[in-house]
Amino acid sequence: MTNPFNNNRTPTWCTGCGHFGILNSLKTALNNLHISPEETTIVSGIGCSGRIFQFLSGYNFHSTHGRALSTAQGIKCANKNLEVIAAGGDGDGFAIGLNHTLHAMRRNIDITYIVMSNRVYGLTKGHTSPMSYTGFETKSTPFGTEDIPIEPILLSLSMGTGFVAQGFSGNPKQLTQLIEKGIQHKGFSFINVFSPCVTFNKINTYNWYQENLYNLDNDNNYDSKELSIAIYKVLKYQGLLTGVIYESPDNTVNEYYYAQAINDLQISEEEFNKLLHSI
Amino acid sequence: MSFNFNLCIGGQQGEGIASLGKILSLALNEYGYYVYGYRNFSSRIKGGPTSYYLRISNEIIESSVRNIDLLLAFDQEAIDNHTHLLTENTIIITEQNFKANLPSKYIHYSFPFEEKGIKLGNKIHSNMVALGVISIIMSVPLDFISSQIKKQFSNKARTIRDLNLKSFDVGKNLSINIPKLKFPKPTKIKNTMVLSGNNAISLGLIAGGCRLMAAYPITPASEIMELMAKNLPSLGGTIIQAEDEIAAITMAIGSSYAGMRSVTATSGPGLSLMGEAISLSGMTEIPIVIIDVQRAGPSTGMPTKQEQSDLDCALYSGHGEFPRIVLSPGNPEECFYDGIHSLNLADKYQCPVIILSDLQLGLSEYSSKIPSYNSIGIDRGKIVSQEILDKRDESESYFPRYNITEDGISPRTLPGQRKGLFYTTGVEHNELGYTDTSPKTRIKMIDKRMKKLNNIELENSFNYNNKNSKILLIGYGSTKGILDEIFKNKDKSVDTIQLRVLSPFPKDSLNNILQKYKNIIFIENNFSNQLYNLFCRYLKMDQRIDIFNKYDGTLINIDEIKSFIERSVNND
Repeated sequence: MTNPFNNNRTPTWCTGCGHFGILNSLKTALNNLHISPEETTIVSGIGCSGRIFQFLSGYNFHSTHGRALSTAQGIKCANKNLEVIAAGGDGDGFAIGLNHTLHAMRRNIDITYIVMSNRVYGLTKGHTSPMSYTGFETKSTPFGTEDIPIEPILLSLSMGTGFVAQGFSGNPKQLTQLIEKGIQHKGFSFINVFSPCVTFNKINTYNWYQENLYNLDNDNNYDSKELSIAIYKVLKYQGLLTGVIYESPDNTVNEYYYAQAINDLQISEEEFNKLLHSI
Repeated sequence: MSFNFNLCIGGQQGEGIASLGKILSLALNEYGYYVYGYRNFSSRIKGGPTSYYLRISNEIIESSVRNIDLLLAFDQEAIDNHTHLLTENTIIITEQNFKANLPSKYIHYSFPFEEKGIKLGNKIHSNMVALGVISIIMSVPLDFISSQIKKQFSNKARTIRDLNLKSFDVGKNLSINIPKLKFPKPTKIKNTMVLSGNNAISLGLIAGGCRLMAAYPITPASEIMELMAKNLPSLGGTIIQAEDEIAAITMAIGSSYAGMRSVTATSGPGLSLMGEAISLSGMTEIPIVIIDVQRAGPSTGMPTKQEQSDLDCALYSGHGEFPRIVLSPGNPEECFYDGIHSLNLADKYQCPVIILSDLQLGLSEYSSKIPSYNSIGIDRGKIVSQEILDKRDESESYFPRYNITEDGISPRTLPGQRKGLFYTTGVEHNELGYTDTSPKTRIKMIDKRMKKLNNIELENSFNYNNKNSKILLIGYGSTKGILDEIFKNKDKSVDTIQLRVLSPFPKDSLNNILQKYKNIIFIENNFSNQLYNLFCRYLKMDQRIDIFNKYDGTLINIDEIKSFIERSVNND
């Protein structure tokens, strides 16, 4: 049975790009959950990562830089029956879009946010990202950046995000599971994915990640429902860990902003008179 | 002008002046006069001068006049700020606790408002005491006032409501021996309601089927969001206070993409921020309605002051080329109509629609024709139904959302529909929405999008008042009140044009009319003649042109326009 999310478009990413792994895991996860393309909207931002929108089926929306999350929330509130997934790079979500990322986490609307993080700006051909480590030399930081890198997991935990996970393009099986779990989680789900850029980041490569990542799946005693332990693990491994990091035991979702399905937009005369009196 | 009375109440913010003004305007409107109320305030919460101007007439009035007939001043500052607007017939009523410094030629009375207020329990009650005094002086039937007081405080504790009524009583008794003014009886035939432009826009949007609003609070547009927040949920709609204007507009675009009629409202600073998203709506052909309630700019400007200097921004902000519609209502009735109309236009032409309002229109309180239920009509444009999609072949899961059509407008499907899949992107794209920047596709798509409003004039693009005069007066937005009143004035012979649609610019119809005139006067509530420049962009404009500019943040009053017209005629 073919995956209905396959659309025979060849991604324009460089050979070996980490984003291939994310694309495949996303398609597999959606299909495993029996979600159809017609009820799916992938909302992407700008960058190499943003191009993902047209490499799989769905009512997909390639929005402006940094605004994938606000666009996605608007879509979900208008039609809560859609499966809404936002995707973008580390620049999209944590530089220009950082404000929207934080508020989307606070709003806790039921969407899944996948960050395709390669710690560089690839599409503009090699500039520093808010997740680049200090000393990273790029065309805009030829002497190495001095800025302190953003650690997205701590950030999202402190915003009260109810599902926080981290994946790696080099571990597609785990990544598929994380995406499935994220989609199934009711409320805002945040999945940061380490996705090496083979062309512009020669430091944080597949090998580098393989050597430095700690996999929580191998940790039998890890309780992902304990916030303080999650924070401790993130600090201990300096953010370089994969698996489900935190899952809130409360599992709440914000449905306050959802509009109700409306068949007839024309209000009744009674409702109209009530409106006039409300002034 | 048969009967015209201009009242001004001045004091400090936080003293209940706005409340006083509101009750009086509601009462007088109900009694049968036309009222026009405007509150002048500063960017503070408590303290700082504030004034409420209330104009009363037996004819429709939608603008302010220069001179004050009765000044109620709670402090010296209120007198000083208005000395230049007083005449020898002005009645000045002041608070007794300060020695009013005014030339003795004015008719002057003072009353112990504050003392009486404090006696009743709180200094704030002085405003209702004052209301009692001026109600007697103005011979307003008192029942209308007391019923409005009850309504205003109906959702407060009974004790508060009663205290306000009592304060009003105390005031009534204070002015027993003062000579009363005699106003002609009200002659209004049809009922009117007191409406502000902002409230009227909200009503129109709700009536027009808007069910999602995302906005960021900003003076003077916040009231639009507030009224929507109160009323949308019970109709199944939703309102999101976004983290900034960029989130607000992109949320509304996302919502509109998913098929819900969506809107955002802001002022100048927000409109600037929304530029990129306006461009996104133009490129992706997603309907969006944006309201800009203009205030004095640039930058933070003067947040509580009137100006019309965003015209260029409304017409041109958002990089690149794409068609857009800019509407300009001139009174609450037109605001209501445009609220509905903007949503229909956005769906029809699948483009950004900006309603360009202004602070004076948004916040003034007008005796307005009551919005009519029968004027509501909803047209969703070319949205393809699931029925039609079901007739497509099984293999056709994708839909050509950006199909090339005769009029440039392509039928659209909505997320969730079967056999309607398409992609949406801000990058140039082909019919299915896949990115495609090849020259051949580019030409096709630019031509398609630009065709939508090319050489099109929307219905009712302007209101033309014609009595074959030699002079033509032109304006838009809140200047409508001045245009209409000047036209009705028997002393002068002036025709007027009030723009209702600024984009697409109705150049052909206007050209035919402008040819008849030798002398054209533009009312520009800005420095750089933005409306005149718009005319120049499309029309020859070789008539004699005079331009009245005002950019000091205060309202344009009808008297200064009359003087300007006279000077312009005399110079001819």
